[in-house]
Amino acid sequence: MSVAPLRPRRAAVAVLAIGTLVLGMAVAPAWAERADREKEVDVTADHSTLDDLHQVYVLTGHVLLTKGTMRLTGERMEHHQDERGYQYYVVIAAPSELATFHERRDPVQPGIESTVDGVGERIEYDDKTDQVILLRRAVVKKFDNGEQREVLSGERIVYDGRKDSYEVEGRNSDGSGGRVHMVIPPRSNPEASGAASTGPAGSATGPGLQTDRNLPSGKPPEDKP
Amino acid sequence: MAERFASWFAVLMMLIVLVSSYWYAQTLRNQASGDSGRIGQVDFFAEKIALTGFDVQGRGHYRLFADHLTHFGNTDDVDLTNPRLMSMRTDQPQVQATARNAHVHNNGETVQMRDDVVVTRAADGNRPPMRLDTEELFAAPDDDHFWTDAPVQMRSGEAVMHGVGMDFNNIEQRVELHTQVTGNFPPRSKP
Repeated sequence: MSVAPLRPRRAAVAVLAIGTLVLGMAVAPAWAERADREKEVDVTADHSTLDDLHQVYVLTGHVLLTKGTMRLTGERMEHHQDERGYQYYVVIAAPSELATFHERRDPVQPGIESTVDGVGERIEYDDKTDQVILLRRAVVKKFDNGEQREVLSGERIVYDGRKDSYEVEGRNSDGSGGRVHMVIPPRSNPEASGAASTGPAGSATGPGLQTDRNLPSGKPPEDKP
Repeated sequence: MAERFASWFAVLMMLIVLVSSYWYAQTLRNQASGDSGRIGQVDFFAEKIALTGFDVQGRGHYRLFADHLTHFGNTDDVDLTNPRLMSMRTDQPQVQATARNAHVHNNGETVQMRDDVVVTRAADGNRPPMRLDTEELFAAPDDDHFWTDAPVQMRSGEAVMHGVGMDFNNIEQRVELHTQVTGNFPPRSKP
């Protein structure tokens, strides 16, 4: 489920238990850096295998992928390319570790550099749709000039670089219920800024977040402050 | 006095013939073993050779060309200059390997190629052509298998990969780079 953009007015934290439902949100409008899309991909790894028949590369061992400002790391990476030249990457973490994603976004306000950092056991990047999908133990954090802003966590986070929207799903891979966590700090209120951005588990405090319109009907936020 | 001189002259001539014969024999022996100090005696040379390997059904499996061939009788090994090895399998895209020099071990079981080694795999269907560049490469022509411990550059279509150590199995259609892998995938070219 995807919803209308959310514009936080005040310091707010939401910890939402929505089981298998999906929550969508869009944060401050800043696109993934457009120039990245035209950049080439560089990779480093310890080992690689090319399935020459299917044209699939599998890189293993300390894999690092960079594409402009975008950076993906993990223990194993698959690179696919379709007949039209679109590329698709899957990065998988080593056991008990997490794959990482980092990207700088196009600035929307002078003097503010926004970056996105994410982790997950598996991260997929689709060159065609400019979507990043973070799976299992997924966390995405947005930073403005190095200061942490929004935080999202769940079992599946889809970051759409074109729409600059996130879709977060709490459902576990086995279909059981899970939790979606959001931390959304104030936009630019110096008085409230100290209460924001403390972490993905909802430990921050704030006067409340108007999240009802973003939630599926009949599923009120459980831990609404 | 004249008789004595004639006798010494005959002896001297015989000595000269003896020494000359010994020197000539030694020279020939040294020439024959000049190239083969490491692996044995050369028994023949050939220029502009073309050699065809056959599988058990008698079908041509690979062809080997070279500008110059030196064959070593003791070990049946062969040295090649400017070798070109071409697979002739009909069920796989053609693979070709070239180099400046090569040494063929065990009657063609293994070919060790050196200096400016290039392996190419022809385009096939949706697959772009592939090219491997290295300085030393071993090939097992009967198995369509190529490998090296040296640094390698691999180009497949627009993608370029570098690594150290490689295995290319043309039957399994897999290329492995063993260590220190770096690669570059260019962005999609706009139609």
